[in-house]
Amino acid sequence: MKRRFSSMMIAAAAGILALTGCSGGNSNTAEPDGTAQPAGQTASSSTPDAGGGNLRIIWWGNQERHDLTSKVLDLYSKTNPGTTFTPEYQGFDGYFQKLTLLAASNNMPDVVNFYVGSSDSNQFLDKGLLEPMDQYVENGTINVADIGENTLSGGRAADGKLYGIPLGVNARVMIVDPAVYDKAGLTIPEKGYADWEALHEDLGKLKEVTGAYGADDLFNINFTLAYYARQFGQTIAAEETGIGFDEKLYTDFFTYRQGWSKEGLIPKMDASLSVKNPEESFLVKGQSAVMVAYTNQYPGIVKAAGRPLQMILMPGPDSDKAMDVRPGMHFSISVNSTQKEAAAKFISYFVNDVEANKILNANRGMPVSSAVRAALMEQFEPEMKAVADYMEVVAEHSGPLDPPAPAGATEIDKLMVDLEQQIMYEQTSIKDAYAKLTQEAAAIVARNKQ
Amino acid sequence: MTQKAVRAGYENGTGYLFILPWIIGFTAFTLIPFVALFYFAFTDYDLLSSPGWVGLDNFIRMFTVDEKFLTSLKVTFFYVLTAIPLRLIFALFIAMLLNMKIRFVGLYRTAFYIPSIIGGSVAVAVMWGQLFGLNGAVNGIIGLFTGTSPNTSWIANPDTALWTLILMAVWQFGSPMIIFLAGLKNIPDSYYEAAVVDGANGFHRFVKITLPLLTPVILFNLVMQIIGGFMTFTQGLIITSGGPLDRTLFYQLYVYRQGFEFLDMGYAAALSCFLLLIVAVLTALVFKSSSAWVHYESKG
Amino acid sequence: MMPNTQKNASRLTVHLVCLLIGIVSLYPLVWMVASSLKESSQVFVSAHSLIPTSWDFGSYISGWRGFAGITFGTFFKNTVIIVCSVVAGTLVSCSLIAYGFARIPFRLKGFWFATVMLTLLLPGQIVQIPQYIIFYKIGWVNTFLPLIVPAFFGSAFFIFLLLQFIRTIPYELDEAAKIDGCSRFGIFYRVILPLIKPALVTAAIFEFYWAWDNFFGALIYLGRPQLYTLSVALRLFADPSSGTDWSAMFAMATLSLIPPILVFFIFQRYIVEGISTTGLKG
Repeated sequence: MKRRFSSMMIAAAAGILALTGCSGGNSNTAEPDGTAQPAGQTASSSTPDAGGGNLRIIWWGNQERHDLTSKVLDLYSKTNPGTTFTPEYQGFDGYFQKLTLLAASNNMPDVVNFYVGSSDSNQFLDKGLLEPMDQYVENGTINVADIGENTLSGGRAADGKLYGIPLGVNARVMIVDPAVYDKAGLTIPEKGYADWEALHEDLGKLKEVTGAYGADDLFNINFTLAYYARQFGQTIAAEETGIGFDEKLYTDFFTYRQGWSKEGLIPKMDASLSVKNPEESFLVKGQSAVMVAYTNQYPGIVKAAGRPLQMILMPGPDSDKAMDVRPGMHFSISVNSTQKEAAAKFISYFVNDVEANKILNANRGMPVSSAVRAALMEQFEPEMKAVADYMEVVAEHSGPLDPPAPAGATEIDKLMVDLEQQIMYEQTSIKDAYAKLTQEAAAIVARNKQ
Repeated sequence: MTQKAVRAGYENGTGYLFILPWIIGFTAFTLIPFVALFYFAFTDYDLLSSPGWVGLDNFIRMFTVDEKFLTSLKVTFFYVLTAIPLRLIFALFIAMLLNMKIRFVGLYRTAFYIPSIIGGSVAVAVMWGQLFGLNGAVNGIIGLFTGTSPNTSWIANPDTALWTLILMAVWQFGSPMIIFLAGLKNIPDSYYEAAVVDGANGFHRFVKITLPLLTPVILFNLVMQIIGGFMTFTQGLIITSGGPLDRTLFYQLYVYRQGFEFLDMGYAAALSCFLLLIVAVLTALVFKSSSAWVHYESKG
Repeated sequence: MMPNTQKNASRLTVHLVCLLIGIVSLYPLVWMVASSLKESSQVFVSAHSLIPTSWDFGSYISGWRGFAGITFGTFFKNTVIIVCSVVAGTLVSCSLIAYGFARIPFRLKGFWFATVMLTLLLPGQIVQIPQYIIFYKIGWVNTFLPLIVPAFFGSAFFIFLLLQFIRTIPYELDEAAKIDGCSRFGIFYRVILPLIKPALVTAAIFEFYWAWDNFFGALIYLGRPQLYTLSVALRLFADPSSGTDWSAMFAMATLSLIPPILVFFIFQRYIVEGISTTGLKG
């Protein structure tokens, strides 16, 4: 107890120092290392040796991802003696909260799993906590020869610099239940519906077969509004005003949704809100015949449903303009890392090495490297094979990614979800909601510019 | 330890020796964070860079422009005022039931405590959806009795969402029940024996003996449940995400959102300070009133 | 409380009420166990059937396998080490502190008691930031210490709990012991501790379960998978953006509930027996 007491006092003293000096992540960007090294045994950054040393790496995921990624780390250590890893994998719950604390205490791992472009990650980027990677691409440490520029661009921030290397790509997909179409006497449009109206016509007949709904809620604002905006040459976010779509588009979108939901073709808001995981969807339970998702969710949905399903393109018009091939996740390098060169080398290996990717088996989405993709085709299971085929189709029928979201996008996202609920629960009119959205979004952008 | 003190006099040495662990622990682990909390409340702090002093700005924003601050305060008060009394009464009732000498009482006690254990489980969000969702067990049971199951999802219906969380709180009555039970067991049998000799009936004994002797434990449960009620947060986060229409936006959930989702830790700290003040005042009031209704055996 | 002449009929009523509440209480547990035995494809498709069509223990095997070679054995071991230390620390420290507050008059007692209550009011979400930084600076991150050591310095909830129980004990007992020549510590150890056994058991049961269930602390302080506790490990199955092996997660969640339930079942009778066996005559 005595020894503990003295260390307790040290704790108190250290804490006061920490707070008066303040905990900030980049308050000492001029001198990124050396100032706040831990007194204890945190495994990080012992030797600033470009040859390797110990790399700390953090990602989120499920059992399969943890297993496969760890195998690749072992493989890399074997072929690159001198480089070892301290992995800190975890579930998605609390991932960003933990990362925030690691950043606040100047203790970010060297390699960080991000989704550059998501509002969660953008905060880190805005505060300068991630290392721009352009120099490692230029000097050849990171090989991007087999990665399309469009795919790579997802890792770029508003300042044009590259902050993450994509690990896999996904696309939006409409998933349909062939058996229900059969029974309803309908044919599945292999290339996707011509427009939303065409889909609407089929839903009535599909509903009769399922006895519940024609489709799951197809109009989740995070998923579909961005797509719908792209169909009409607009974007969901905009640099200056916060939002990049006009009132007509917003009105049309919610008019569809309200109408279909009133007709009982799609679930009401309360029913669709209680679906929290794709495995819980009405399609999986056989109560609907159509749903929308991202391609990486398809194998899981088929597994949960336990029956054959089929993927088609999202509805038109202009789906080939509106579809996009989106990076699912990125590996980024922490700005405080003392082994950036080694981290960059590893990331290049992770996306380009065929053996490594044979182990990873497209766990983070379709591999970004065309060479790797080609090498993996034969080992895919049927569902993954279907996804790969679908991605080939999308690659030919898609447009460039939307520009990065402005600072404050997290708050705008939340605002849009709030208004979505107010409209769908009939607390406000679409017109009023749009007026409020434009006004508050602009205010949020202005506040974040300061 | 060998001090020969009289009852009325101070025994500073002995007293401080007994509470020494607390003083050390409080100073080492709580004091600094506590001071930091107040400091953050007057700053603009995004966690990733140093805090900057902004004076009273956070508090001004709270009381002038922030509608959600009021919304979340209302939600929380409603929850505390409904869930807590219901839970306490239920817990006391069950504790008295389980205090009887009946068979299987250990099994019953364990069964009743299980909701409290499972409530923190990783599966609870999915489970609650399975209970109160559109195709959930609750609708199934209603359908069984009425012929048609309601076409609504209780957890996502703005009128019922908060009530499902209140129901959940009542359902997790295990902890206060156990404390009541321990309190009931602390009442010596001899008191009741004496009352029986005096010819008191069951209700009389409850009012004259059980309730007064249980008051210290009731005070504990009341204070703890009030505090716990104001701190409620997880259910709102994982089961309803504060929705629909912010009907389950608990105060602490709103604080969390400001702090960790919008990285506005300064504002989150200001919000916390305000809640701390409210709960501290309420707690103090309960303590003040306790001298009128709580019956202690000793004067310590 | 019931008169001894109570009829069987009312006993039956009591049992019926208890059974009804019992069913409502147990439903989610039964649902979870049933789901863990279903194949993944059946968990949501046949969500409301409580009896799996086939008894499939495969998810227990695949779940136990854990992550990257670290099995749930490791996670159980870590959790047990932490939880047992925390429970021991809490009982020792809180009973001492509570006795000090309950029985010994000393200067500034009101102030120190206010700090106890104040601790309960602190918003954990925010306070954890400076706390994390403190533990990081002294090098305790990635060890069990931040999760264990604070328990040895008292926890406000249990201090208050034990305090309230000590206050229900007649003061005359202390007096008598003092006359017999007992020191303060002697009174605490020989008189008070045995009498608050129900409260101590209650505290132990609660703290066992809370420490067992502590997700957030374990998440932020334990950086290496070899150190993870069950609550952290269980979440390693879940990834809403790609897919979750629900049956494996439910299987491991079921296993992880067994110890707290067992602990409760075994110790709950001490709450009941506590007083009567020590022969307190008030």
